[in-house]
Amino acid sequence: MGKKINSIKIYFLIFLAFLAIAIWTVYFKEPDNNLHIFVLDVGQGDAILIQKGDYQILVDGGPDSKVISELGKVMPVEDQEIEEVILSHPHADHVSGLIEVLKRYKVDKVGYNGIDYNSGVYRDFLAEIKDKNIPTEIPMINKIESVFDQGKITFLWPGNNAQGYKDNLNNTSEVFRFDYGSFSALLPGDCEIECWQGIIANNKNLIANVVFLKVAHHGSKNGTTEENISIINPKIAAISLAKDNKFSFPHKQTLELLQKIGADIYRTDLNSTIDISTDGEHWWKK
Amino acid sequence: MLSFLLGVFISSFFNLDFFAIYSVAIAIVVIQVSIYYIFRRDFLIKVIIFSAISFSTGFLFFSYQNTKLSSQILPFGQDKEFSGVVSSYPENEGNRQQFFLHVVDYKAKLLIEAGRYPEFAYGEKLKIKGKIEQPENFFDFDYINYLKRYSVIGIVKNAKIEIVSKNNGNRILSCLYTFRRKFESTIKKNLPEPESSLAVGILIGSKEGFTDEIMNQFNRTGITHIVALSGFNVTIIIVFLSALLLGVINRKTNFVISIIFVILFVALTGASASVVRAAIISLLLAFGATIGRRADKTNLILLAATVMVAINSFVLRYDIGFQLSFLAYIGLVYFSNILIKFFERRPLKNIPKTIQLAVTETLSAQIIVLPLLLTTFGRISIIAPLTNVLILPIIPLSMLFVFLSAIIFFLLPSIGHLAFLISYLPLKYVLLIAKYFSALPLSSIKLKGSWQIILAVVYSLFIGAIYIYLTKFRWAKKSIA
Repeated sequence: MGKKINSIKIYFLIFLAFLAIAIWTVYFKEPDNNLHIFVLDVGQGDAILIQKGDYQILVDGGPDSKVISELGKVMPVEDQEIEEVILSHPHADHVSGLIEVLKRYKVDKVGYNGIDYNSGVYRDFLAEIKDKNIPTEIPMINKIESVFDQGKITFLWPGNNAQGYKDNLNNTSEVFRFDYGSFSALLPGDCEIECWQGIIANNKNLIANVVFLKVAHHGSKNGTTEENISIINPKIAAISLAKDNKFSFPHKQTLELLQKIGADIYRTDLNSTIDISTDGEHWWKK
Repeated sequence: MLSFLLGVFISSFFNLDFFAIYSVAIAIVVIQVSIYYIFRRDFLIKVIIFSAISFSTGFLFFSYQNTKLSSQILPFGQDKEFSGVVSSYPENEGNRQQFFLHVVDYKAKLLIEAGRYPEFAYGEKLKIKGKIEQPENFFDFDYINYLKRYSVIGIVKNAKIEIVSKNNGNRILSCLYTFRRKFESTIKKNLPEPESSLAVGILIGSKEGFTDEIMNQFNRTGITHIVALSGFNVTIIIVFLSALLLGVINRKTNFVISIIFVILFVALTGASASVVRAAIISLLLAFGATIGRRADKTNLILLAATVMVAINSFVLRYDIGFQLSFLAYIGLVYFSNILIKFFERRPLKNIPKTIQLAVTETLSAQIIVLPLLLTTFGRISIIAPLTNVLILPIIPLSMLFVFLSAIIFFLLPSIGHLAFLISYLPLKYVLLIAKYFSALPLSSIKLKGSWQIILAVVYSLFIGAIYIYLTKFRWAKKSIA
């Protein structure tokens, strides 16, 4: 009997030791004051995480639940909350992974273009939001949203006009600009020609000369034209796509245009997850 | 019993029609039985004839089960509408989910492959519109026979599925599966990937949710078995239970409670061959301990195997889990007491007992499953003994931590999340070991084609020879001296 109590004591001590280490690692780790934009390697699709400390904005979720393991790699261990999810448009390579995200993480709000679209995954995505009572929003064009200390999101497309472009869902993509100090980023989803035309007509100055561009539509030639790329003039361009994808993305024209403009090009098929960090003044790729 | 198993094994190589052979076969059995009675004084003949009878029974048995399954008539390739009840716990893989459906109209079980969402659940009655297809073998994997082991000969892919009603299944199973679902989702909500998949994996054994990268690391370091339920889990449950209950209640009640928990666990995890094997053997051992008798392990192994094969004769040849599990256990029984002798030497003697045990148990299981791993997967992990010794002692601890965290979370959700951070560490440790050791250049080697078989045969002969040498000659010499 005495032996048994002894072994219980030992187990209890081991348990306490682990608890102590766990608390240390969480509370005494080096604080990371930088802002990160991760273009997550989720295969053929899009999933971009904007993260500052324990504040996250997730834009799209990729084609399957791989996004979960990618989030696991970059988010703080103790953080099971994502402050905001933005769905660019309801195509499966953008929405599918978000369902599992909604199931596993506490999501505080969801922004999307509000379009009616009849697909199983999109229905399940909306059902999950309703089930969890997560507030949703269809952001208006030019709506400005402040996030954490000095972050700023400016929505550029499509406002509440998504239904008008439903022939090509890519043109209903939520497009927004993100600012943090002198760092700026443009996330255009799968925005194609019509969508770019609309943005250029309304808000040409807001897309001009950004630091970071998530290249539209996985590097398709419809997403990047000579006109829009010369306005955007990005210093860093990231393309989210899978190796040997069936669409033969990225298109040659796109790569040539980006090279001509002099942008540093990173691709998730070659570089895996891309981590762009900034302190508001300088930026660098890890 | 050995010859019964042999009969089933040999029979599985011939795709015989039971009804064509049964009259002849039964005649043979009758003759055998009569010979048995004529010569029942002579021990040798009795043994031989008895073996022959069991052999024929086993042979017949397999062909009977095989024929019965093949005689199911399914409308392959036609567009049909039918309904059935989900009869297993649906498993997810990537963007898909898979489950078995019991269809009353066809008196058959079908494998349904559907998109990941909406998620279906055990006991739901579904209306299905689609085509039933015949499975096809791919690469060198015998998919047809693999499915036959689950009594399935038809697959439905990409069908239109509607839920008709819920709770049409077994009550107890429904409760268990609901509990499992809740348990899994609690873990997944509180631990990031891949730690959460590992936590689920070591507790209830599923390879679901792992990326190819991680799976590859596990294979290279030879630790995949920790997420494929094994006897290890069952043993741990029994040990924990008795540690918890011993002293509070007497042995008999403890045994009964163990039985109940183990059976519930087997049902919860979908009764895979390795768990059933472990459950039968550890319960029999516990029974022996309760009534105060030590069982002969050889008989135990044969009994467990015979019972399982008699229930489903496909497991013997077409279930790799069954084969691995039994081989590993055989290794444990026959080799570990030889290996432990190495630790009696001087410099090794001071190593703590727990590490000694971990090393010998890992090695003895590894030694014997190696040829099978070689022929089926063509990959052997060279550093498996090392990684296993580093990892296995942590596994019971992490199982306990995950389980406790989940309970704390159920009781006190506010601090439950913090509790999960504790289980994060041992899980992370396992993953880190897998990551670093798999990156070593010679962690595993891959072999192709005939090399696999040649090496496996040579290796088996070698091990067999060593075993005979060690057990017979060496001890014999010692006793003379």
